This record gives sequence, C-alpha cells and structure tokens, in this order.
Amino acid sequence: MKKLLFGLLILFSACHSQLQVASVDSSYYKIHKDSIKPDVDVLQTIAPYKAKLDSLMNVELILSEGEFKKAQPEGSLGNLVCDVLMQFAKNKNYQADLCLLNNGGLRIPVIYKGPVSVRTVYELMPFENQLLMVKISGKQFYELMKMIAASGGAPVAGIEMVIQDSNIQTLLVQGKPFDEAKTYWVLTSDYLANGGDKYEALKNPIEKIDLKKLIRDALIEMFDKMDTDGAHLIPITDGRIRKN
Amino acid sequence: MVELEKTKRRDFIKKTIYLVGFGALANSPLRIMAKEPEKTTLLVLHTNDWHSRIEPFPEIDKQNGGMGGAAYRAALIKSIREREGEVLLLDSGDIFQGTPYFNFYGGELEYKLMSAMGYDCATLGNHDFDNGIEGIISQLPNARFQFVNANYDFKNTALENVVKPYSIFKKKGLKIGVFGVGIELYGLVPEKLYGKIIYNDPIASANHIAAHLKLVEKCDVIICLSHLGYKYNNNKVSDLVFAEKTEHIDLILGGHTHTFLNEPVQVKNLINKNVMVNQVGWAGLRLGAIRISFEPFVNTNRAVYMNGEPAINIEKV
Repeated sequence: MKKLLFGLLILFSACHSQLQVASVDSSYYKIHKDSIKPDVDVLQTIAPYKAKLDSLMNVELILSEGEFKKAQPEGSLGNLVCDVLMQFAKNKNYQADLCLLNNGGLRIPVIYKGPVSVRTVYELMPFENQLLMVKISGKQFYELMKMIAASGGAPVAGIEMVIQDSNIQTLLVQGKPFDEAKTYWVLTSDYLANGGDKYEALKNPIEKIDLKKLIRDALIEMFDKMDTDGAHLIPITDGRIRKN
Repeated sequence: MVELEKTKRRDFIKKTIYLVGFGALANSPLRIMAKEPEKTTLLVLHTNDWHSRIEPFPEIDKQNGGMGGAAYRAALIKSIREREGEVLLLDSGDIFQGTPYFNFYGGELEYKLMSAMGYDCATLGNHDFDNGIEGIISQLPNARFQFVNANYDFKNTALENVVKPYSIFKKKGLKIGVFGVGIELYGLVPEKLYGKIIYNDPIASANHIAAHLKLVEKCDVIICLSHLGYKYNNNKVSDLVFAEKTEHIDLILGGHTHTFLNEPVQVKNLINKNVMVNQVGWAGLRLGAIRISFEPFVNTNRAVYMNGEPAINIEKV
C-alpha cells in the first residue's frame, strides 16, 4: 500500500499534473465614481461617442411631477406608457379597446421627479419595437386576459380587471362588461404580437395594422406635444388591475 | 490600493473529496513529508448583463446614482492586474442594449471597451441578439476576446465556427476550461433576430463539454458562463437547477435575472460535489472577484452521463 501511494505522489509531481479546485475565496467590488479615478484612455475612447449622443439625448421633453414606478399588478410607469400610447393611436384615428405591453419591456424601474429627457425614454424603451393594432376574437381576448391574470398583471390601458388567485374575477373593457361575441382591438408591440412572452392569443389576429412607428418615438412625440400643451406628468394608479 | 467596498468569504469546495477514490493520500504521513509546492491561485473577475451602461448612472438615480461606468471598471481592473498579474476576466452575456449607446452605435463601444479592459471570454445573452445575428457579426472586429456557447446549434448561420462551445485559457501555468450556456430564445427573442439558431438542452450539452474539458483536455478548473438565469418559480432551467444536474463544473457565473448575490451559492452537483453559482447584478455596478486555490486532481468520477455515453466519445465537440 505504501509503495502504491508513493508511486502516485511521483505521478502528481510530474511536469504538469492535472489539478482540481481546493477552495474558493469570493468577494466583489462595488464600482462607484467616488471610490476610484476613471481610466483616462477609456474616457478618451468614449468622448466622441458621448459628445454626439449628449447633443441628442439631453433634450428635455416634459416635466414629471412625481415618481413613476414599475409594479405589479399595476404600476404608475406602465399606466403612463399605455395611457400615452392609447392617446397617440387615438390622435391617428385608431381606437383601441386595450393597450398591452410587458413589464420586461420597461427597462428602467423608475422615472424620477424632474425633467424627462429623450435619454429617459430611450432607457425606458430601448428596443426597436413597433406599435401595432391587432384585432382579435372575444375568445382570444379572454385567453389574453387569463394570461395577464395568471402572470400577476401587465402594463395596460382600457380595461379594469380584478384578479383572484391568479384568475379573472371581474373584467370591464372600455367601461363595459367583457363580451365574448365581440371582437377587440389591441394596441401592442410587434414583440408581443409576434410571440414574445408567449402571448399566443395575439399570434393569429383577424386583422393587423402596423402603425409604422417605434414605441419609443411615439412616446417622444407625445411627451413633446403634451409639454407644448402645457401638461406635466403626474403618476397615477387607479386600480385598473387589482388583486382581490 | 483600491479596495472599494469589498466583501469577503472563504468557501471550501471539495471538503468530502478525500472520502472516496485516492482519499487516503490526503491525510497520509507521506503527504506531510512531501515538499509543499508553491500555492498557485487564480483570480477570476466577472460581470454580467452590463447592458451598454458605458457611463455611471446619473446622480438623480436614487438607487444607483454615481455607480457603474466603464472607465471606472477599467481603472479597477487595471489596479487589480497591477498587484495580481494574470487574471481571468469573463462576462456572462447581455453586453448589448439598455442605453442609447447601443441604439446609435450597435455595440461598437461595448466591445471596444471590453477589449481594452482585457476581457478573455464572454457568452451570448438574449439581448446580444437585439440587432440580429448580423448585429453581432458586424461588431466582432471590435472584440478581441472569445465568445463561447455550447447549447446553441449555430449550423447554417453566420455564427457557425465563430462562437465556439468552449475555450481553453492558460494563465499562471493553469489550464482553464471555459464554456457557455444560453437561455431558450423562442418566445424571448423575435425569431427573425435569432434566425436558424437551434436551442439544445443546456444540461446535456454542458455534461458533454465539461466531461471533455476535465477528462480529455485535462483542465485544472472548469468555468461555465451561463445566461440561463439564477432561479425561477416554474420548471424553467435555472443556474440552480443546472448546477444540480451537471458535473465537472467548478464555477457557474450566471446572468439574465440581474441577481445580486453577495457571495456565491454552493450547490451539490450530480455526483454530490460542490459547485459554486454566482451573479453580480447588472449594469456594471459590481465586479465579481473569485480566487480559486488548487490541489492535485483526484478522479472520483462515477461516470454518470446524461446521454449514457462514456466521456471519451466526445472529442468531436
């Protein structure tokens, strides 16, 4: 036995004997600009890109009078985006019954009190998502609502839904009780309409209209117009989706 | 010396390893008699989901104001290299998307800065496909680092033979196997963006590759760059599930869920060995730093393979 062990030891000390992990020491660094001086070369690399962007992005669009937050079942940030998009479509003579987006598509958790800039909207909605109108059957619409209820809520406008134990308890569309015999128009993103987040009910619509507008650009246009009209943004939560 | 706010914890991975196989060696008097070799350690630095956050968050941001920023990360990494020498610098995907830098420059600056920081390797996250496969290809000339993924089949796409299943790095005399696993793209990324890429089971793919890296390539340590996500409430495969069902992996550096783990989570793998799972939030707010210590390899492998094939048959990866 001793001989065998000795032999193995020699084997291990050969030029490159394979090793394995013995222990792990872990830590992390929080990166804060007050704790370390920036790398000058990197700053120089960034500078020309930043200069061009700043000229486009620092444009102030409108004033926010409070904090808009992303939340479930309902958040003031999701409400804002959907309400504004509904109005955008209406201005183009498209009357939707529902505006539906996804929480994952809102890429900043908060819009703070103060000026909202083009940069804010880019960071909120960085994706190249197009605005679409899709017409679906009452049955498809209800499937969609069931998915929203099961997921605990999504950014919406146009409906009022009470969720109980992940199921629909009550549902109003444009202030009226849901009617399965009707068809419904949904204002949404091409991402969701093409199967993003697995909203199957949107995938085979009766009719589809491309508004030929990026959601981000629609928001920028609307905020700009609202500001010209003297409006400010005020966060609201009105129980459009709530849990019982 | 730049310490910033740093937490520290020591974890011993393979506490039970000597109970099997050549275990007697560890505690035998012969080991004490043998000359203790100089201890080599490897420092692994890592990020995930930095999402085009080139600049620090603005001061108005109550949660993250003044935090992050590529120039600050670069300075930190440089200072660590000065005292440490060779390190391994890795990223777990979603480099792209989140600030106008991506909308206007398509990731050019992200790859350039990662190259300047000396990244060794990254895997692909779902948002790295936001400008399509072509969006990655067109920026690759700016990337002086490798991309790895073992569970996407890139056959008949422009990424075929560009993104490799794994890459082997030699640092401080160590042989380090790094491979990647990615999340299911269907339902997450528009189909027109990921094209003909086929998603394969990450667990089966990983067991295949990791066994190859450990037993054929004889790597000293195996690191998986994952963009699966840390944990889910449903049966979707997460890093925690993945860690339990794989073997030969020492460290899983994750992403996707933007999870801030203050220390790696230790999980028992398929053959009851410890594997570490870590993730450092998002946006370049944190830099993970994991120091690995080594000991001689003891093959306690019980030859459990998901596909039932012996490890030696996987040379064609």
